[in-house]
Amino acid sequence: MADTPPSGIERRLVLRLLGRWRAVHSDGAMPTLQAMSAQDFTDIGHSLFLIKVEASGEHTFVRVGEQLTLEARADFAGHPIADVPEDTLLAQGIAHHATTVAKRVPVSLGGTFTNRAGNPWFYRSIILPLRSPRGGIGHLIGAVNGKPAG
Amino acid sequence: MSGENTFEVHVFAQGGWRMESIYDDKELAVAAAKLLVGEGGIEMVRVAQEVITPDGKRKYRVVFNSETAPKPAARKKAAPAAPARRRPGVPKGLRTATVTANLPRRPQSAAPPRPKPEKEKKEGATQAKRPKSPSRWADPAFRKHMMIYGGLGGGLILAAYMGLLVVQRIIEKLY
Repeated sequence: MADTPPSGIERRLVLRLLGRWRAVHSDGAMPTLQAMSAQDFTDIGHSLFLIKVEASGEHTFVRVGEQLTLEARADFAGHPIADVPEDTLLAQGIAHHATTVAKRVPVSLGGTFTNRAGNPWFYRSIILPLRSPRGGIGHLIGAVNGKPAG
Repeated sequence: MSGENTFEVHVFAQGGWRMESIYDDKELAVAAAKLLVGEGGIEMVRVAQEVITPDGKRKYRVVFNSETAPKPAARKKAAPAAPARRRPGVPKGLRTATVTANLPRRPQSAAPPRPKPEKEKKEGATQAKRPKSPSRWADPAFRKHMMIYGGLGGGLILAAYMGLLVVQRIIEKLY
């Protein structure tokens, strides 16, 4: 993270997803994917991604929003998260997934990166943990968006 | 992720603090924390910035606390004036202050104070000499004492009057 994005950049997306996560989050326990899926994501679905957490560490995408797919020029649904190229918005969104898994709380980060066209972009992301029926983290749901810097 | 750019939202619920979320942006962390204020089951919310001391130790600096933050919404929802209640065990001064705070304030733009007539002023002076708290009379011990002292005072006055009458009779017989 080289720079801090300007004040106000894409915070709305982060707070919207966080608000939905909190709505089904009770007594300090993480919500389940089932509870989270019952919510309406039509306004932010294009910037969302859902990751299945594997014990082996080979986490895979379950779903990737249209805007992220378009920017990455590939649909990574069903693919390991390690396959995502570094110069994509999606890669910035998942960069700190390990912190979310370790701390078991939502983590939101922002910064700048250089995209495939060589242009600097600001981004803001959030990743939130979802509980598996067995009690650990079963999935990660996240959102990321950005805009050209300068 | 750690260092001076880490802001943690902590919530106090079920008797303890727990970390709720992590941010690298103070304004976003505070905004996220404010959304939790007033949520069911959450008593307090704070945002703590992780600070690394020169000797490498980690410390937290609270940059937002729901307890000390201004609450404009809470002021708007001020409870209606409750009737004054006597609260045993509360010092008299505090009790008076609480009752005053609950009373609706008269706007200063209301009718200007008019000069008091002489008679009213005297009545006001008499009122000032009365016991400040009428609740004293509810105390049986206070009432008992007042009856004893009142009786004694009355008896003394009566005795003095009788004495004066006797002295008058004696003077009349002599002259």
